[in-house]
Amino acid sequence: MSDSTLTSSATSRLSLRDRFLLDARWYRQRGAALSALTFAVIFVVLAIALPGSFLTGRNFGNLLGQLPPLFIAGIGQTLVLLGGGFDLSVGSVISLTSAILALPLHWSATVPMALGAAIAVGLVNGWGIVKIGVHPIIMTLATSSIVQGIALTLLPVPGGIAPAPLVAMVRGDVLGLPLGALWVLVIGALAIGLTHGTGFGRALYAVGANPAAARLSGLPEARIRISTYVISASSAAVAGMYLTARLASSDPNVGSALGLDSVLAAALGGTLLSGGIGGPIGTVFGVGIIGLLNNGMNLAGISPFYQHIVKGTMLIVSVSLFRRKEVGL
Amino acid sequence: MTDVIQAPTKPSAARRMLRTIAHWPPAFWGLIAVLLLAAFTQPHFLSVPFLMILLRQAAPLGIVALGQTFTIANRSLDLSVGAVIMLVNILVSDRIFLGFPAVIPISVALLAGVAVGLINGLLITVLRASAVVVTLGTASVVTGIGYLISGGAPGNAMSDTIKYIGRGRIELFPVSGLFWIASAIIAWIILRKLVFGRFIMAAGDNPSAAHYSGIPVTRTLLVSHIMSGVFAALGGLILSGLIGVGSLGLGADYVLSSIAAVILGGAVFGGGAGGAVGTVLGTMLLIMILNLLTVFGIDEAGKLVVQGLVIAVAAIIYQKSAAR
Amino acid sequence: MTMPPTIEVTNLSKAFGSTQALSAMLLTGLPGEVHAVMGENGAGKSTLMKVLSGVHRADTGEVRLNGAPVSFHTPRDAQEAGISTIFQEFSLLRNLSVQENLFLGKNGIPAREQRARCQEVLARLGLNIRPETAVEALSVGEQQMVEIAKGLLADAKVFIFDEPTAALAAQEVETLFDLIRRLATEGCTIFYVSHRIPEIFAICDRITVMKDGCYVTTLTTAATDHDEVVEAMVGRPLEELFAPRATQLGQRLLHADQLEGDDLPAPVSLTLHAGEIVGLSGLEGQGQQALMRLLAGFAPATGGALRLGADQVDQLDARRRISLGLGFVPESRKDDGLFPSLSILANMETGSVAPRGLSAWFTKPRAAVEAVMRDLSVKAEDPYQNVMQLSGGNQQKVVLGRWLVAGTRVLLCEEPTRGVDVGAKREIYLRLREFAANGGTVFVSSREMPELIGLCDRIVVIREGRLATEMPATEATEINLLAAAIPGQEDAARTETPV
Repeated sequence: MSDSTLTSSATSRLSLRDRFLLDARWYRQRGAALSALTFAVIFVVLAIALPGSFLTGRNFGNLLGQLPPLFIAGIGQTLVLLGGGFDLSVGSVISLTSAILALPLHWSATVPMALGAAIAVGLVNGWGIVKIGVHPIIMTLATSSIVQGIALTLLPVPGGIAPAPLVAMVRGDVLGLPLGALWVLVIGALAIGLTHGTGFGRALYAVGANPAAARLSGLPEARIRISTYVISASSAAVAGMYLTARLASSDPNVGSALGLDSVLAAALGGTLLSGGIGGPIGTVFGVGIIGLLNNGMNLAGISPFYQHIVKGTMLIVSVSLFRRKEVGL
Repeated sequence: MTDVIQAPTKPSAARRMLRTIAHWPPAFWGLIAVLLLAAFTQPHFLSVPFLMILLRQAAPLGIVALGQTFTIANRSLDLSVGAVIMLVNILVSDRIFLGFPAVIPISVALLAGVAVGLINGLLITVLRASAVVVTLGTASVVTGIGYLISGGAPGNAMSDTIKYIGRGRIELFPVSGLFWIASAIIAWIILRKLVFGRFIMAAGDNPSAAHYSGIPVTRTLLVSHIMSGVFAALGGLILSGLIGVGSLGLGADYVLSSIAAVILGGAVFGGGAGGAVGTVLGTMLLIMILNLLTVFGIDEAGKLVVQGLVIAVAAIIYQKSAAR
Repeated sequence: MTMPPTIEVTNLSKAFGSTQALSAMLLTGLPGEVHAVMGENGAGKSTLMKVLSGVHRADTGEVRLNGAPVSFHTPRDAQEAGISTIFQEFSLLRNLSVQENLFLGKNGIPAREQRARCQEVLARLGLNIRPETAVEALSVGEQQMVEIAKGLLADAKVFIFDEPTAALAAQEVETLFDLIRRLATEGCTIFYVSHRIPEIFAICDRITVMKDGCYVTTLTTAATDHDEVVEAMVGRPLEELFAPRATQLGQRLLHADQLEGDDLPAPVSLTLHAGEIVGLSGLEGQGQQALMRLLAGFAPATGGALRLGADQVDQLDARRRISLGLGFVPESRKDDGLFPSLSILANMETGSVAPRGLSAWFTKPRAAVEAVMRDLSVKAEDPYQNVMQLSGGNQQKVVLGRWLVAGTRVLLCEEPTRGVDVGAKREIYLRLREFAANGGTVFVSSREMPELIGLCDRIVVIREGRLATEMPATEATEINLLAAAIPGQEDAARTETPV
């Protein structure tokens, strides 16, 4: 009932600070701000603690080469979460993409095939969840298993040679920036443009907050929710292509860790799992936080075993910041 | 107003029978189908020695799935069972327990399961974080702890008692099978004969209504997660005994399999359906399918596909029938 | 009145499964009129409005807008045709700004123009809100204004208000009425769905009454009175529904002494005796729920004392209070009352099982449940039937019966007959009276004042979270209950502070 204090007469006396805090954009992006702050703090701490190894061009080059797959997959996951869903199949789709790229076919066949397969997975997920009403976790857990199985059937053991044009697109520099940074820039700009500059983006926030109300407002709620799963699977495919190209060969298990990490990146970036709050800007920082922590721990010589512990703890902390009403799933 | 004085009308015996049959889990029909298929194509499948081998193989999953039944019936989920199995495996094969009686590593293993379940339950009920994310998170943490304890090289100092539990036989009958049966009876008693089971059923079906009926919803969920942790630890113990050595990455596939077994057993995130018997049938069906696939020459990859299909199809059928 | 009607509904029918929600319904809206649509709960008002707003599609019949037949497939079709509906549950998105809500689903309008039009329409409504403000930060009244702004923006000619004053504070109601009158003078047609008779006499020109999904009559407000409207709605004198009142009271079963809770602005004192039914009346959202839940133990007591019989219970949680003989029937049967996948037996055992320990042995209280089912005449095949296969009235009996199985003495009951047909209503009233006569006590809150007047022995009125008045039900009328419920002049200044 605290909102009854904000009667019209009170609104006219609002301070600049209150106006800012009442703003809808701020309301949706406050998690991203917290995330940016966290990112900055970790950056400064690392810069002070490890000046010799952290603040080097080579290290940043490494970081910018490593992070794009997580970033791309995390962006897709963010859109699904914004629409009130959940996609556990991201990791498997990355693996499937890698496996398809190892097929003994020309890249002009395998690349569209990989993308087509991903879109199919996204459509199946969306159909089961939106049209049939299966719980997103169950549906994507099931498709995740199926897709992983298909990946292992196509390519039982790591191998194959990544398509040369793809390899060329991830190695080397442009204007002094590693190409990975370009992928991040392009996909980040696309995602931010899509969510903040289009009707689809606004509709997505509406659908995530309250699907029934969005439908009453005449929005194609089902189509929007299904499309988030398609976007998520497609971005997983792109992440898989990048990863395969960077490794220069295929691995049918390459995505296994990225499913969880993509949720972590989105959650650390302030996107709520209940939908409608957050967005890709926050995910940029979420990915950055994960990257800096991994990087810092590597540089400091901390056992990689601790990374599991840190990641898990971060995931729990980041989703616990905003309490939900319901208990359970 | 003719309805004022009217005793409950008696349904026909046939209708009542139909209703009872409709409540039988999908695994029951699946098992009949698979057994028929096996009888016609692979008769040796139904020989007693082979069934005993299947039983031994199924026991760890069966026990883990019994634990998972508690969380799923309670409208929650435990994605950390795989990590618990891995941790237990590393604990009981650690050299530190050399020279101690087997009861020490066994107790430590079970306590680890309780601890993980308790932490899951507390995080889910106190922080109100999503069970999926919490258990994914604790799974990651527990896996890290397992790696740290093993130092990357798990030991092989497992007590013979644990190996006996995992591999031993009494005549033809596997010891692990006895543990499974005992676990199933315990789970059945808890779910059907104790007040706790009624709480799970009510809170799983409608948490809000359960709250307003006075049912301690959060405590119920907490205990459900502890049960899942304990059963996962026991399953991990038996699996460790079966394998006989410490092994990194053990148990990862049990997360999905345990959920598949429970769903085949009829429980779909609350709804009062499913239970210990359903989960036992679900586990048997799943193991039968996977072994039949092996016989038909389908490898691990194919099993993943089948497992995923099973979950998806069961969930879709359930949803379709619930929508009626 | 020779003006052609703006909107004309003829012969409209709509069925949900086997339930005929509307049959051969008629309704005519003239330009510039405020037209009330009235009827009891379940009379089909909401279904009719949902057909007009494109949420449901009619099975048969015709809707003509400005003389041309129209058919809406989606709510959007209706909006675009110029019918704007302000639903009880607002369709606003709380995480979006006012402007974003107003232009949701309308692409191709430049941001600058959106903002200008948004400001213009907010100014027309006299709302001093920035277009960028999140709806989350608005009061309920302001949110409703934003809903109306949506209609203004779409240049709607027909506005439908579904119980618009339900959640409004007193002076917000005045603002709303001013606005409705202004819309009418601008030539719009306004349908006003409500069962608050005084409001309808204050603002409406004509009244269409419906009952059981059928058209009953259309009255001109100036030429009718309260009793004629009620009679048209009910179709029979109300008294027949109720059992005789209590003749003597027993011992004190519940006694609240200066009990304080976080959601109530003032301490509450209340005593319930064995044998009596006490009603809780008030305008929407005056703290009825907070009080009920404070007594039941779902909200913590922060001061004062509460006794159940001889036991002091204010520091005990709901479960302990239940074990001491308290029972609570929540308002929303579907969300908070029933276990939809479970059997009648499982639904009715929870009250008696809840206070027991997790590790206690459980035996199905089948005999007790069957006895209560017989007492309440629950129409069902057997206790193992799924509860959702029952009618609304029988479902409500199951929720009530839960506490009879548990041996409850003090029953706190929100909206005992919501969504229940008349026959079942009567039975529920009789059973509640029987429960009281057998040594129990019932505290019941309801939006329907005739129900409280007929059912209860005395009625307390809650106003802005305080128990304002108490009166014997024999002296209560809808008019004096309402007079007691409306915040007085000296109170008006206080409404800005949160309740």
